[in-house]
Amino acid sequence: MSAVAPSATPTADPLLVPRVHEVTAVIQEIPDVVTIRCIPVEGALFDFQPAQIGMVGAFGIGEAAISISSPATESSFHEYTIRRAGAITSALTRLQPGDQFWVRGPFGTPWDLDLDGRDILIAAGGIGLAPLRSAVYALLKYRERYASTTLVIGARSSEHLLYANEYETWREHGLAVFDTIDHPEPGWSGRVGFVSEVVRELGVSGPSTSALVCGPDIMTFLTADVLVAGGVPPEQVQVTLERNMQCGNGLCGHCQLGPLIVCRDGPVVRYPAVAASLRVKEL
Amino acid sequence: MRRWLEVESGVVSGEPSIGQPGGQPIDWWVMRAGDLHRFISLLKSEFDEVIGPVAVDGVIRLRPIESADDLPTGFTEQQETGSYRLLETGTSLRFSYGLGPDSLKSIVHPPRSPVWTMRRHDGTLIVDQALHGTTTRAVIGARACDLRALDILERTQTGGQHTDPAFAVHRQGLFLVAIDCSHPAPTCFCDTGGDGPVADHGYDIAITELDHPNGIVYLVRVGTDHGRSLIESLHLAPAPRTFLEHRDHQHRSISREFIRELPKDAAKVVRLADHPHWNDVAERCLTCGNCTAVCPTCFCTDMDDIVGLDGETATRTRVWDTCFSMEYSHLGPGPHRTSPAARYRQWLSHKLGTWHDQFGESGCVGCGRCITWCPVGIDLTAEVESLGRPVEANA
Ligand code: SF4
Ligand code: SF4
Ligand code: FES
Repeated sequence: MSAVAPSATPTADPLLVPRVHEVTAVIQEIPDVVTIRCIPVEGALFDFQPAQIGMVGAFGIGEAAISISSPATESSFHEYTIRRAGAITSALTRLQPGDQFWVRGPFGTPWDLDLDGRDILIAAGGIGLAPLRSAVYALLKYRERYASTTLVIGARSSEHLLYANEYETWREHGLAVFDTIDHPEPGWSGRVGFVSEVVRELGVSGPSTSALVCGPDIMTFLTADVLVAGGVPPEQVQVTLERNMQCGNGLCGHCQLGPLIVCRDGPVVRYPAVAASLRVKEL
Repeated sequence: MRRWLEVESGVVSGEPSIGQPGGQPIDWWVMRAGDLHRFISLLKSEFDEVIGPVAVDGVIRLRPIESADDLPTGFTEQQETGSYRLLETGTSLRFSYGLGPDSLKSIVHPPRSPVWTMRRHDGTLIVDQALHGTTTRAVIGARACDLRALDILERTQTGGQHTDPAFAVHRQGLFLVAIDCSHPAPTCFCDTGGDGPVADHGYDIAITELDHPNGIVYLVRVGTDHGRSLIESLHLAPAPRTFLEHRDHQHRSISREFIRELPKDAAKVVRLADHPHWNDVAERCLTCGNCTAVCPTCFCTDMDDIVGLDGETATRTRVWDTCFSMEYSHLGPGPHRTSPAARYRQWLSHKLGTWHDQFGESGCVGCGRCITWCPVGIDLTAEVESLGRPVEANA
């Protein structure tokens, strides 16, 4: 090895430096889920690409990996859609306008949207629509580049359909939106069934299809399997992964899924890279 | 003592030594006990800290030392699955024991490392980022497997897209004095799991303790210019060929001592996710994480945020973590790997299997620490062997 020569100036890890943000609005989305709109306290908004992750932190409690759900082209704020689950997300979902928190990032691989001329199918389960929302806006902005654009969004019940008030606008801009719920309920005239089943019924998959899938592991591989069975090349199925993250920069080991280090190799990966791993319980 | 000087001078004038006479650079030097004292004093003057093996708490540990007197003279140890015992031998040997629980990991990737302090003042967050200092350290006593483990650890922390500056600065300040193993523990399997027991690269200076019939000598070689300049400043005598032959003999007899072996198909069989043997290990494993703490390559860390008593100050510390804890895989409502079988599988299949995919090599160097320090004596070489046995069709 080289000679013993420590750098003259002490250093800090730039990727561990938090950027303090201030909440400008809180939007109650569905039960237990809020969207925090925010701006940095100092400097400009950082650039990101759809599906990239921010390590979002609450004072004295810790950080959670949350995808940035606002459109990447939105230049006046960022949004994080957060579900209340553990201690950290509970603290984050209690934030009020004017409160400060921090973000590190953005981390991870984005959706590949260079899919000109292809039929785009977006499949989302529950809060899995959050990392896809910025992709929806990116696709609709350049709608003419794609042959067709379809979204299948599934939820436990109608009140759990995320961003439901935006579906009409998306439809107007050329996105075919199919929402579905797991079980029939009074007053619901739409589809009932899992996302994978609706994707199969719609017959929207074929060799010209490129898919973006995000949801629980099981929904992800069931849907991907329907797509592949319908003729979609497995490489044309992009999926996002979710694992515990501590550093976001590939060093802490937490986010492993088999051979993958999700914060570095993901969250977006091609289906063949995880088809086997997703099926192994507790991997 | 006198006799050695005669031997040495005889060598220099008579039979050729490996370090060529006549102004050519020397490759091997001889140190005696007194020289070892001078050597450590020299290290003390060159580096901020000198770390070496010390017998404390019934264990050989790596700790800051003041002089050669602190070295564990006359100690050896007995290790087996789940046990470690320090023994006094009454000899004057200073390095005649196998590995203790500490590796270079504790130095370059400390168990606790400050990240920031955050203050909340009238609702405003003010961050003080921790800076990583520039302490230089000489470490005496790294073994071949420790050097290999350091390389592996380094690749995980600095070899990818992002380099951990704390690791880099600690590594840069490191001066390594390796010791060749003369008494590997029965838990070691570096001949099949790594590239020990003799250090062949990655050191600044390497030393063989030679239990020579005429008395204990230290044969010294160098791996870097820095190492050479320090050794040359001690004006040691070149090593005679007879000593080197004795050294070869000592090494040959060690390589017959290894009783454990890592099966060749380890990288493959640890990926058998549905193998029933994982449940068998899980019945014994306490999920205590001792194995990950002592493993010289286990690198996982957690970010630990603690609020001060005033409620307005929070410190963040990066701490060692273990894939055996529930918290490690916590996601939203709960842990992702709840069963001990899934947690043991994560450890072993990463260490010996997916490490290859992530970093292009195995994460194990065969140091055997995880075998010794497992409270219930789980032995990865035996577990890999079981995983390699064919499963009955309906097992
Ligand atoms: S897995 Fe065990 S034998 Fe291998 S390097 Fe780690 S502690 Fe040593
Ligand atoms: S294998 Fe042994 S040391 Fe490792 S977690 Fe299990 S009981 Fe603890
Ligand atoms: S979050 Fe630390 S390695 Fe991925």
